[in-house]
Amino acid sequence: MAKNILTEENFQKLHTVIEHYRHIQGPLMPILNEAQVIFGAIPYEVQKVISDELNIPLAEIYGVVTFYSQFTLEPKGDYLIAVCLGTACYVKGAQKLLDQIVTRLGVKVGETSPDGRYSVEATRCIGACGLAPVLTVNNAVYGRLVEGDIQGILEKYSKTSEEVSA
Amino acid sequence: MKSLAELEKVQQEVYRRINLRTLKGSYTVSVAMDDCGMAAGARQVLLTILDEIDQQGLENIRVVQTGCLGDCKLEPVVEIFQEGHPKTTYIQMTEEKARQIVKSHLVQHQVVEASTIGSNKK
Amino acid sequence: MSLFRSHVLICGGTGCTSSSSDKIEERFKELVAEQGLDQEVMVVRTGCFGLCEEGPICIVHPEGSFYSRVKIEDVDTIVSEHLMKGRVVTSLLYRDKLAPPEHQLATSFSEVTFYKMQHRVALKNCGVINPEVIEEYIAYDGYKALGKVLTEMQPADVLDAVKKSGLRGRGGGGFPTGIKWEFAAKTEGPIKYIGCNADEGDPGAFMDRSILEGDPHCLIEAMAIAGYATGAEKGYVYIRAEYPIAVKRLKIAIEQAKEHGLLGRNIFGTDFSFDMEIRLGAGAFVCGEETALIASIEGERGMPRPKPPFPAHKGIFGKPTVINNVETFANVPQIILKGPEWYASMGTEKSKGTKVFALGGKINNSGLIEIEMGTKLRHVIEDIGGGIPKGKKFKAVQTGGPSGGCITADHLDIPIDYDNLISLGSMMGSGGMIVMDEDNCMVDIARFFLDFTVDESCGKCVPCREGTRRMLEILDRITEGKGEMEDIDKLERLAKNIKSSSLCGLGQTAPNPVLSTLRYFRTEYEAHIVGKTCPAGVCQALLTYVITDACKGCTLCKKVCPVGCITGEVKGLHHIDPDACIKCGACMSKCPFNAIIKK
Repeated sequence: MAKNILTEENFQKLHTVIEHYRHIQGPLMPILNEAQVIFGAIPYEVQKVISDELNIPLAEIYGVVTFYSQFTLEPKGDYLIAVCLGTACYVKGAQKLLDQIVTRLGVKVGETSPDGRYSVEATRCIGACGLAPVLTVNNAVYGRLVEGDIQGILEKYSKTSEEVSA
Repeated sequence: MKSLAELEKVQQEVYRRINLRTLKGSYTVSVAMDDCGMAAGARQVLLTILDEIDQQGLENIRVVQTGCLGDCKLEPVVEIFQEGHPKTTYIQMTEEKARQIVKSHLVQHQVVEASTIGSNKK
Repeated sequence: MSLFRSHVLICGGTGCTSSSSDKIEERFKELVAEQGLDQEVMVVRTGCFGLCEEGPICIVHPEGSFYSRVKIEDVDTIVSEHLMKGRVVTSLLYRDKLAPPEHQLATSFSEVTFYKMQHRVALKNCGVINPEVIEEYIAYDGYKALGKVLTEMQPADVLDAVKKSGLRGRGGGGFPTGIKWEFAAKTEGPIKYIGCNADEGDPGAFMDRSILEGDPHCLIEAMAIAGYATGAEKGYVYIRAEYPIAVKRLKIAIEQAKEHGLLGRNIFGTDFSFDMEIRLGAGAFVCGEETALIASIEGERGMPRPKPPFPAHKGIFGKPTVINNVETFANVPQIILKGPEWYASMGTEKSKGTKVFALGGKINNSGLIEIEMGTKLRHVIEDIGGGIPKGKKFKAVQTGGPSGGCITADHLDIPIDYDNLISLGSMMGSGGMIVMDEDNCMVDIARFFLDFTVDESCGKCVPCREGTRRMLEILDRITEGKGEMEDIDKLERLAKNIKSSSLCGLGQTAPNPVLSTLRYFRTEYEAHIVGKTCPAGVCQALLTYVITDACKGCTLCKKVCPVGCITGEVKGLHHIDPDACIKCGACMSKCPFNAIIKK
């Protein structure tokens, strides 16, 4: 992994979450949701802790984590570039935008660049259909896009977050 | 909330505060603001009207503001609209006149002739 | 307490928020305070107004001035001109192109044609109240229905009212709500649950999101009413994680309801208690299917289960559960307050009431609308929707998302209701309506939807897992120019098998977009297969980008090309290498002389 997410601090947070949800019915999904936020991913080491604490077989937890698209086994890059491929955006040409991004960055959809800088994703409809087509980079939303906009947007993120804040 | 009565109390209190978002209004009171109106005291007139409406417990009155109506000597100007009736234009308003007009025109449905533009034409 | 003389309502739905409506709200608050107007002017963040195409939207009441596409710089003008001087800023007002020329400036929100043509029932409070303040919900008759139900009605009366209203499930199934509640009521307890399906996975649908963001309390009230009617004391709301604003607003609403004693033990001093919990989804479309939803709450992979047993008999944690969609619930409080006859007086014989639709795609007024069932599609698209932009020709409207089908120009005068849409080969679905024009390729659209269902298929049953994948492979070949005429027969046979033998609704309806486009656009399929062309100019493999001699040699295209396949000197004719070109279209969109065409 490009980043170290298995810190003592993160595991402490995980234990607090497990204690909070331990006694409700159906505790696994809420715990996994929070784990994904804490670590940015739910790798084997995290699954093992949850398995031991809740007495749920590790294989079952692995099955749940790999079923849902919001749970990842590896963390995403510094910049998560997500192109909405909901119907309204698709009908207005979002696929072409995604293809251009894949080519320009050399990162396939659903993958992260080796240096951990970019992840590229195609998302389901995010509900901003009035601005179609839409893409987001982390929390910034870019709407009403045309193909010529992509180069400029990507140039904004050509530094890593460390370089920007330095 | 222990009872329906409590719910209704909250409902009435809050509805009065926010109903201007959806009200059609039996009366619309329009206060001309703008530089000239404000210089002549239109803002105080507006706030006084709102206060008197609140004190009188009146419902169904829309109070809106507009820009300059053109005749600056006559400011502050307040117009009252009611569907199916000609509009009434009150001129040279003061805070006292405002309260009088609310009580007379809006509560008793009596125009205060002396303060209208019609009675003041030379 | 003195009355605020002006209310500035700012849309806080996801669409406008992503266009910085939160910063606009902050700026208003800042300036209002600076000018000493904070006791006179209330700045309020509401839910979605629905006219998303024109966002961010701000409305100043009581005038009803409808400001659209507001930028942060505009706030200064609106405060200094309108709020301080009463001068409405006409240059920032929405232009109501549907109104006669003299009335096009939207000086009064209630007169805007887009809203006049709607009948907002489920969306009644959206854009009117601040969803994070329970008192505002109460001001507009909130929790009155729950009070009436608990103090004046028996559970059987409530069931009766919902049945009489004719309310049918708004999530897509269209099952009569009253009958579903009755099944659960008749099943032995003692523990029962009310479930709300807020997983809204159909791409292009955002009805439920808007209700949750704009009026979360109506859901709480309705679920409590359902609990009373069926004997349940707990509700679960399963909401997709992709809706963070909706989740936040619902959490706040539940907290406030609890603080006010409207959730919890002995509500309104009666014996009735009701509690609610939120459960987040994690990005699986199939969890919108009710048995998959139940599996997800129980901590499993979201895989559907055979029905019967239906959730009303055996649902969450094995207990009898009523599962309804957000919009279905949103109608309930008004059915109780205004009476089932009022609700049944709207709509058609078999489809009562109103429906919320999310208009998207190639349409001028994209956004959220609510209309009576039985309204004609043409009215929705041409009148309320404002027609197709850029003067393009209407081709089809897709309803029902990945489970639905297309409706062509020939059928636009059909009244919208559950049965009519099914007879056309589509379905109501959750309410997503995507409009397409002459530049959309229907084969590509079918492929798009199938791609989605293949990705989202849970994998449990063979027909869906394997069948949809085979259909997708065929469609891929067709759009790449490698199709054969027998592919159409194969598609139809596969579709029939998958529909009749899949375990759940996802698989059973996955072939619909393909069948529907084959039914109405067969010639387009044949053009791809026989002619090896894409008439709409969409399918990349069948197109070439060419620079014509309108080229002035400005080199803009060369600079923007991501693969460097354009050669040419300054002021000279440029040339695209067709083998290296990835057909992204960046060059065409950058060219200021329209010198690049697709063939």
